[in-house]
Amino acid sequence: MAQYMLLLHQVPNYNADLPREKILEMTKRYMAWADALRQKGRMVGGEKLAAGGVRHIKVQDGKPVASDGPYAEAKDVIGGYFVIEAKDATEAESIARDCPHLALSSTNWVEVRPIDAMPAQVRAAAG
Amino acid sequence: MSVQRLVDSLARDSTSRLVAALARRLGAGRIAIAEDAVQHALLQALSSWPFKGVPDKPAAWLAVVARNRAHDLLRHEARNVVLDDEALPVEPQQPPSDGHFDRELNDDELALLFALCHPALSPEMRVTFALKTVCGLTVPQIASGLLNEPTAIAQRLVRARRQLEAAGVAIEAPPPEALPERAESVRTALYLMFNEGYSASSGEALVQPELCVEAVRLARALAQHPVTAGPASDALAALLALTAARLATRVGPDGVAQLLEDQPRDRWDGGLIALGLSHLERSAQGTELTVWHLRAEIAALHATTASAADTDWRRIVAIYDHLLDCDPSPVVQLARAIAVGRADGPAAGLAALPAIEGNPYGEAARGVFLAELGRHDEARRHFSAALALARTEPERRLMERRLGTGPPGT
Repeated sequence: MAQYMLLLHQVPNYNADLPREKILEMTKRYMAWADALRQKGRMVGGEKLAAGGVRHIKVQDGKPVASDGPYAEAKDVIGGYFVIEAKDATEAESIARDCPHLALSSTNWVEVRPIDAMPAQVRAAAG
Repeated sequence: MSVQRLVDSLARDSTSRLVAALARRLGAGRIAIAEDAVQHALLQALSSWPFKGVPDKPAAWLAVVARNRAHDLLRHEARNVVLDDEALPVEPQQPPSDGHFDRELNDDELALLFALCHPALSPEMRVTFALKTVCGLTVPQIASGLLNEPTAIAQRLVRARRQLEAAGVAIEAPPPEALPERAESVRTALYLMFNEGYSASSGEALVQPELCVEAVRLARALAQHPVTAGPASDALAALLALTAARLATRVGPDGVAQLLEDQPRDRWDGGLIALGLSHLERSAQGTELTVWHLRAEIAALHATTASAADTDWRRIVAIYDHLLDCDPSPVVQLARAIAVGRADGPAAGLAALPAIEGNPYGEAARGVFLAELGRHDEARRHFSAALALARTEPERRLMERRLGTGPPGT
């Protein structure tokens, strides 16, 4: 088993005008998707990320400098992430394909990133 | 409870109660804010529950988020409304089961129903508005109940809201003296809410018992409130309780819709029948005879007849004749025609059928009468039409069985 991070990309406030029936329908599908992964032990964790309060820390002239970042103008933001377990990249991709984030809006998309696992011998050497 | 059922029940029970509780709290004309706040809470649930699972008390979670949102919206609009935390229940409130209210309405939903059934609106608008806001029905469900187009219903809702705003009408619990003139609209709304639960207009399930139970509860509260009590309210409570008694047998164990005559009557709910009959008895006090009385009498006849074969169909036809005088709608004509068919045979039933375009029950009834007359080819055409029009899965299965394409059975 390997771990993968699913990054949920979206347009800011894409869901502001969804009708109530659609919200409930999508909540059902989303919960069912996440619950099934949880029950199979494939859901490692996840967090919804807040829309505001974004700060970018960058080095300028050798010193870290914080700024608000271009969040307000951003066309594509990460709304949250899941960490899942999958046999291989193909299975991770198929889990991501089923993620209801995709069905919520045609502008939503999911990025699948393998988590860089430490090889066994390195782990052993590090004690 | 499965996730699916949990979210469904939240959608029906909690969100309409939340809107009702918030709207009542916020007072005059702020239903839109209450709806926005609850909408916001649902969106929050959608975006956070998948990550962490459903909270232990999902309804309470929604209530807190909605209340906070209402605070924000009000602050934003700089309105002078103070909402203290104690003002709003965190848990959806359980209404008193004995229904002993003082002269004010202290049942949030009933109070809001009356508030929405404002005399400034036409009776149709009142019912539409109430079904959407308090009963939590969707626009397509309301359209189906009122035999109207969803777009027309959506427009009617917008118009109702505008009309109230333009007239500067306060949506608030009316004083006791204003209740009686609004009561008939409230009764109609409860009847339609019950019907949607008893015969869903779409979906997997034919019945949504929660909706029926809620309608029965509200109808009983209406019948027990000192100002709205009376023969008409008792008759409605009787009708809904007697009909709800048959809920468990509406769909057979094989998932196929069961007609009244095929239902195992020993599985009808004796408690609800007794309750209905006691309301029926009280409804007979006085001289008033309403459509609710006539409908309740038919329900009582079925509830107290030991077997389908013993049904006094002639008496039922006579009651429908009377009902047609008060409510000459195609739906009543259809129900009457089915009774005529049982009383006087399929040829008479066929002759009595109204022409209802695009109605699955009309097509099915025509099919049954034709089949009983041995005109099987014609019957199949109508069963096929009924199958194409059927609104829920159990009804589709019943038509498939009639066409001989479904699972074996009667």
